[in-house]
Formats: sequence, structure tokens, C-alpha cells
Amino acid sequence: MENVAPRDAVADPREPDTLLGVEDLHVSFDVGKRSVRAVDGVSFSIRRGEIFGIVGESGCGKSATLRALIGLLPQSGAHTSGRVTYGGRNLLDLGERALRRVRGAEISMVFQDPMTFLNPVLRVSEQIEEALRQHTELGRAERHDRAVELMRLVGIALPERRLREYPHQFSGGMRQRVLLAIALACGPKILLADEPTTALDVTIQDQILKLLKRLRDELGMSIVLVSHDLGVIAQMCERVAVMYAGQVVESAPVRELIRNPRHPYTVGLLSSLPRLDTDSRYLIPIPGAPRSMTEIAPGCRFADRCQLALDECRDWETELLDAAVEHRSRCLRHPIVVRRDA
Amino acid sequence: MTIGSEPAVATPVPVGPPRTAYAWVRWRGRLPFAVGITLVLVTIAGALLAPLITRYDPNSQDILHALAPPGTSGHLLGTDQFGRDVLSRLLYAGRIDLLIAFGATSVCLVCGSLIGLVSGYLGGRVDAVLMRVVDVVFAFPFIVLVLTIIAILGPGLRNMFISIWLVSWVPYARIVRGEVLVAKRQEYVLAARALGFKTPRIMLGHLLPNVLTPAIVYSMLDAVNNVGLGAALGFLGVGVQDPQAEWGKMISDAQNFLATNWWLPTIPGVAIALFGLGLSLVGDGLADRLRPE
Repeated sequence: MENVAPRDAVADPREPDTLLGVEDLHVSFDVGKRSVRAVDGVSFSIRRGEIFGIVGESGCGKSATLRALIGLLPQSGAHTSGRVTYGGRNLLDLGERALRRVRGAEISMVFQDPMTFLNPVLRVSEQIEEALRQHTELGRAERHDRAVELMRLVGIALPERRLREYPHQFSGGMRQRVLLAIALACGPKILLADEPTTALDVTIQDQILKLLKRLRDELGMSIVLVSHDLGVIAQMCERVAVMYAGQVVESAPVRELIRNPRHPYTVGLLSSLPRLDTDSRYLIPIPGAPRSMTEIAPGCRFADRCQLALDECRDWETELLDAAVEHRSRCLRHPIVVRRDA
Repeated sequence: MTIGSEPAVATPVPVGPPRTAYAWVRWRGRLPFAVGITLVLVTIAGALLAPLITRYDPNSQDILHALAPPGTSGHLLGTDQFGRDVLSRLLYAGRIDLLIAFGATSVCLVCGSLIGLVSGYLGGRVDAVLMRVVDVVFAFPFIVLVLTIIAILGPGLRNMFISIWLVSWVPYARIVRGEVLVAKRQEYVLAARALGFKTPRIMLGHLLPNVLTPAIVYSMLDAVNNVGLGAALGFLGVGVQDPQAEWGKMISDAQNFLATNWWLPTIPGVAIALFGLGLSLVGDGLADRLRPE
């Protein structure tokens, strides 16, 4: 197995534990003659062994960010720029051949809907073992043993028998486990999880999240968890980036973000969560809808929906400002932002 | 079901028709496929075991016993105008027709499907060029194109195969390309890319099994067509050459005896019809069985 692990183990000298660094990532899609800026200057870093969350509503660029990291955007019509540093290399500069060695082996991905991401005509064993054949030198019998081991790892009973079955013989939660087994086959350093529990019902969702956490603890990999559900993120992650309209609007350790949000959008997200510890009978929605991504207007992208917005908010775009230690917010008025129910 | 009157007693109540009826329903569904398989297997067995079934050489003439009706003087299906044993010719002809049915068709199935797969998956210029070739071939009437190619290459079995190969891959390419255009948007393709699989692997290992069913089903009908085409070319005298037996050619050789010795053209005609029916039934059965869940 070829090892593309970091040579110097340090991607960014300022943050010694950084495994993957994303700097100023831009993604745009051609739609007809216009261009949609789906991701607009996103930067974050993933540390070794952490679960990093990206939260935001539909269409805010979460999935596009994740896919851009390992070059999975459509080959035509998508434009990516910026830097994705992994193992001393910029993944965005790698050719398809070099990128293939990273995908699946070093950085794996699991997706939202386990129904459609498994190939319906191939047995589960074939799908797991194929990943091993692609990236390792294991023989046939070893691949089978490893597949059984992986099925056990992701908590599937009777692995020998179930390996011979087809995806349609598995329930939704079990399929997500199979997808995880495939993603983990070659022992990746980073697992990209794109809404891994959204298509599952709540009890199964909880099982899969616990499984993800257990796998992180046992295998020591890093996980990037993308979700629209701040509740899931709060339960799982150590650090979070909140995305809005293609930008990171706030990033912080998860406790800090929840106790002490410093961006009005995050406040809105928190108020729209149902809570069991208060009497409140209503959820507070964020008024309005996100701006169309084709409109290029100056100013803060959240200004139209923001109760704190001033005139200058609409005049120029705000940088990510330091609000506290390890806590950054893209809001001019971040010192006066408070949780509504706090 | 007994509900209400005797609530606590849990007697197993048979629901629906009794077992025998189920057996019939199951059989009725499987019968056509079984019949199809049987017809095809009988044809194959007859062709392969020809030397064991008949002791006559299909091409040896016996003018003294020409035009014997079926069942006379040791000839189960009679003899033709040259005194050749019809059963023997029918069985040996089956070898040629099977070769046409499966040899011509399988090459077209493989080549056409691969071309359709590449065209649909890669898209862009590759797709444009390949599909224009397909359009050009489609623009000509099928039989005219085949005859033209044979006219250029000269008659004979080998050239007949070449002309069928050159023309018949086209529908497969179209069918598979259409399926690929749908299937390549499926997310398992994205998942395969996320695992770092190479493009040929994704195409052959992941896409092909998902798109092949319609092509396989079509190939059964195409095999029937090719037998008919072989017969037609044999009939026109540009396919199989004398004294080689082939079902279509047997019919054409016998056309002068239609009024006096009706069995001569009828026997190979029945053989073509039954073999064709068998392939069609197998095709329908495969369509049901290969449908992905």
C-alpha cells in the first residue's frame, strides 16, 4: 500500500496538529451563461483525531466544499480554486491519477443517502473488497477476512452471511453501516461525512452517530461532519464552522459556539432548534430566505435577514474577525450579539 | 379469517388459494421461460449430437431415393431432390444457424455495448463522433446495408458474419448509451469515484452490470433476427454456399417442390420458427429475471 502520509507531519507550522488545511477555497458552477458562486473563500483546518463540523442550511455550500476537497465535483461546469493542503501537497493541484490514490485510501467519504450510493447489482462483499483491491496489495482471502472484520467493526451481525447479500436486502441504517465499512476499508486518515444521518430515522440516526464517534476513538482518524442539524453537530463535534451563502460566517469550539454565539445567523440557528430544557412552545425561525447565489451585491450576505444590521453592514463585506480565543465571526457587530434565550 | 367470533383461539387459518393453486400460479409464470429454454436446448443438442442421431452424411446424394416422403426407406424426414437425408441436413444446418444466432449476435452485443458505454459515460466529443457513426449506419435500411457489404466482400459464410458484425452492433450502442446516461448520474458512481476507482473500473465494474439487462434482452430478439437474416441471405444465395446446409437455404432449394413435396420447405421452416420462438421466450424470461430490485 502506497503511503501518502504527511512527510513532515505538519501541514501548517502555526497549527502543529493540522492534518488538512483549507485556504480560501472557491467553487463556482456554470449555470447557463451565468456563474453561481457556491463556495466563496472558505478556510478551515482539520486537526488529527478531531470531529470537525460544518453546519448550514441547504444550498449554503457545505456539500460543494466537501466534494471540492477531493475533486469530486462534476468535471465540466465546476471551477475550483484555493489551497487544500494535505501531506505537504495541494490536493487541488493533483492530477486525477494522484488524486485517486488519496481518495478512498487517505481520505474517504460517506454520503447522505445510503440507498442510492450503494451499487444495486453488486454484492456487499464485492463492494467492500473492491476498495481493498484498488488501494492495497491484499490477496483474495485476506480481502475477504478484512471485509468480515470491517462488517464487525461497523456493527453488522452475521458478517459472513450478510457479505453475500445485495444492498436491497439491507435496511437504511444497515446500508449506512455498509457504506461506512467501504469508506473505512483502507484505513483512511480523514473521513468526510456528508449528512450521513439525514436520510435515516431518529433512532437509527443516533446509532450511526455513536458508531462514528466510536470509530473515531478506535481508529484515531479525523472526521469532517457536514450537517444542517446543529443538534447533531453539537452532540458530535469538537470544533464547528457555520456556513452561510458560501462563506464561513463563524467558527469556534462547539461549546463556545453554543453558549456564546457571535454571529446573528448562528443565533438564529440556535433559536430555531427545539429545546427540552425550557418551556418555550415556539421555535423562532430566521425571517427571509438566503440570497440568490448569482446576485453579486456588496455587504454582509446575511444583512437582509439580520435584525442587528446597520447601514455599513450593507456597504462592505466583513472579514472573519476574532471574537474570542479560537472564535471568529464574520459580523461587524459581533461584540453585541447574544443568544436570544440566554 | 375468523375475527371476532372466537377471539382467543388461534387456529391457523389458510389464507388465499390452496397450495396447489399457488403451484399452478408459479408454474404458469415460469412455463414460457422453461419452454423457451427447452426449445433452445433441443436445437443445440440436435446440432451437436447430429452424428449420433443420424447415420447419413448431410451432403451425400442418393438419386435413386430422391424425394422420398418422410418415414420411407429409412429416412425419418424423407429426402430432397438429390436424395440427401432431410433430417441429417436439418441437424447439420442447425450448427450453422446456431453459429449465426450466437456468434454474430454475441460479438455485436459485446462491441455495441462497450461502444455505447464509452460514448455515454465519457460524453462530449467522443460521444458526438460515435453517435454520428451510429446515425449513419441507422440511416440505411438494414438488409440493404448487409447486402451491400456482402456485394463488396463477396458471398460466403465468413463475409456474411463480417457484414452482420459491421451493421448489427448499432442498436446495442444506442440502448446501452441511453441506459448509461441515466445510470451515470446515480450516486453509486460518485461513491465509486470517491473511493478512487479508475474510470475503466467504474465503467465495467459498476456501470455495466446496471445497464446490460436491456441489451441482453434485446440480444435474444436480435439472435432471432439474425437467424432470419441468415435464412434470407441463404435464400438469396449470398450466404451459405452449396452444398452446405442451412435452414434458409434448404427452404430456397426446396421452393420448386412446394406443390409436390410440401415437407421439403416446411420442415426447415418449422425449425426456424421453433428456434426463434424459443429465443423470444428466453428473452422475455430474462427480462423478468434480470430486472434489478
